[in-house]
Amino acid sequence: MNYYKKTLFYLLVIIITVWSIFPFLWILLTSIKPPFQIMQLPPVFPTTITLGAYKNVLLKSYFPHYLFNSFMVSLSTVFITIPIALLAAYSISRFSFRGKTSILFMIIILFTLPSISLVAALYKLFYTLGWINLPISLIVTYSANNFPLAFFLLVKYLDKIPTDMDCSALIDGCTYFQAFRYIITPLSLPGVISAAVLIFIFCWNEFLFALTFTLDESSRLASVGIALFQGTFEVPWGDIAAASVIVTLPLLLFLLFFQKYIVQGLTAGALKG
Amino acid sequence: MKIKLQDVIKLYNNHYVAVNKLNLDISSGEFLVVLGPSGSGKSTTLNMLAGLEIPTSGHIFFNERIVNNVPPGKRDIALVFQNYALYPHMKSYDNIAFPLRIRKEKDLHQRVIKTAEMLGLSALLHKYPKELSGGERQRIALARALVRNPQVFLMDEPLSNLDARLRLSARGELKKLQRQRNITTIYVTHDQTEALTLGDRIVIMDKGNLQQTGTPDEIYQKPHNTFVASFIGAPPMNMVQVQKYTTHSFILENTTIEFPTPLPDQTNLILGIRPENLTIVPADAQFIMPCTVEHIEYLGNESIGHIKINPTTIWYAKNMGEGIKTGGEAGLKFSPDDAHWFDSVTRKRIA
Repeated sequence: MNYYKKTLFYLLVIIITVWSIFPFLWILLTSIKPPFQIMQLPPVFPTTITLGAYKNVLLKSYFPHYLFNSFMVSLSTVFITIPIALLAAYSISRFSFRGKTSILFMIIILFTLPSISLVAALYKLFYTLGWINLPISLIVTYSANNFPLAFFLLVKYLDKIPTDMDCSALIDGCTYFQAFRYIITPLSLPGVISAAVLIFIFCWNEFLFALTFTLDESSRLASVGIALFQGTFEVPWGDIAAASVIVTLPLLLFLLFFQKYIVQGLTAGALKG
Repeated sequence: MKIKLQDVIKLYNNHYVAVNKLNLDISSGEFLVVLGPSGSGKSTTLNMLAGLEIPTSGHIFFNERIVNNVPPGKRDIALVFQNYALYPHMKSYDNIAFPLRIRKEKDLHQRVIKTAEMLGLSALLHKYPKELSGGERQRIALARALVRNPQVFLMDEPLSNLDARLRLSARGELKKLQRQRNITTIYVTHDQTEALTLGDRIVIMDKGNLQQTGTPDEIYQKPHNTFVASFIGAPPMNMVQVQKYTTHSFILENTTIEFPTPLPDQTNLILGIRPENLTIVPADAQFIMPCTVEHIEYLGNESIGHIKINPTTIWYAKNMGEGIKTGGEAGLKFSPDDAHWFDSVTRKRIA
């Protein structure tokens, strides 16, 4: 790469980064501005910093409870989806059987189905089952909804693990399940972690189903909670901004912590080992 | 353990013949090398012996028992893979211990240590496979195969990922080990040197068909057909199609060549001579066939002459008389006893 190309490349990277990060920075600024400066035009850089909005959100509202709900629902979804997706991916990656193509086709259909087309039917279903306002309605929906993503990521990852590993395990005396458990599962760990983190993030951010199925404050998720902050007479922008920052923090920590695995998992098959 | 393959056929997708009616008897303690180019069905044969593939028809016997559908773990075999297939998430110790652990066998620790000592691996036991060199990985794979004292030892080109120098010493070690333990061994390779040096017997396969079975010497001295003749030997056997003219002469590309001994009783023949049996002599000396010297390759301890016997056929010769120059006319001398004759249609040896 010559000098100009390099400059252009970094310039583009900077523009894209700023472009994506600017809204978040704006929210961060809003959350620490004193209330009277928030709606001021033209916008000003805050001269004094206040943590009032954070105090409101964390101490005087149900928001911590919403966070807890989000956390439990997302985590449950991950723990249900990943094992099922890993088993499914193993069988698709390693065995050939009748109906394999049609199964793959159905999973792709599930993947492309827009959520909005399911909302009404699912609402009716959960209403009949008496699951409205119960976290299980969301856990079930999210697990099904995120299964294709986890499945495809894991199939791609497992395809990268040479079949000699399985053969070797079989010859060493394993059954197929033991080969899966002692050899394939540990080897697919980076893929599993990246799929788990992605699913967690998707559940954490999900809004439509959460808004529709959980009407109570007791079962509300953080994503919906933020949207419903607004009162009748005023919109508490400071509190909303503070809640938005708080809701992002766990994801940031996750990404930082698992970054290595996520990149490994997502680029599986892209490069030769 | 003695092994017998009876009319074993393996089809892929119901039509592609990977192995065609293979019959083999392997005696107990024998070192059998299966040699063939890629696509010859040698690896499929090995996988069927290992239980990783199930024959489409035919039977595989271990001693008197049919094992066609016995899973790999229950066959009392070990397999060394070409890429070693060590488990990357386990240290060497755990890799070697894995077959014992999964079978819940006794004296695990002593047996791992003993096997590691025998192969000189004691210092490497706490390392992960990625921290080891190719030769070390290969020996860990060997240790994992040996630790259980299997009845049959299967190897799928275990030396092909080593560099040339290491391969030579590994070959020696492998042969010594097999003699000590006296385990029935089936070794698959495409490398004729490995086949000739390691095998008690060699099986040569091509396109799923057995071509010849025999000791290395038989295979080298009396190849059954042109495929075996051209596959064994470096450089390969020189061959050319000729027409018989009289009992003592044949026609090679419009030239009649007198031959000292009677020719086989057939019109269309293939004449084969190994490069080591050919001598290039000056054009004014006594010779059997005329030729031109294209190129002389100097290899230190020997030279290989590239010679044209007709406009389209290049032969190789390993012996040279005095004063042979590139580009010049010369003659080829050989003993008639060293000539191999093949039928030009069936490509089979004419005795």
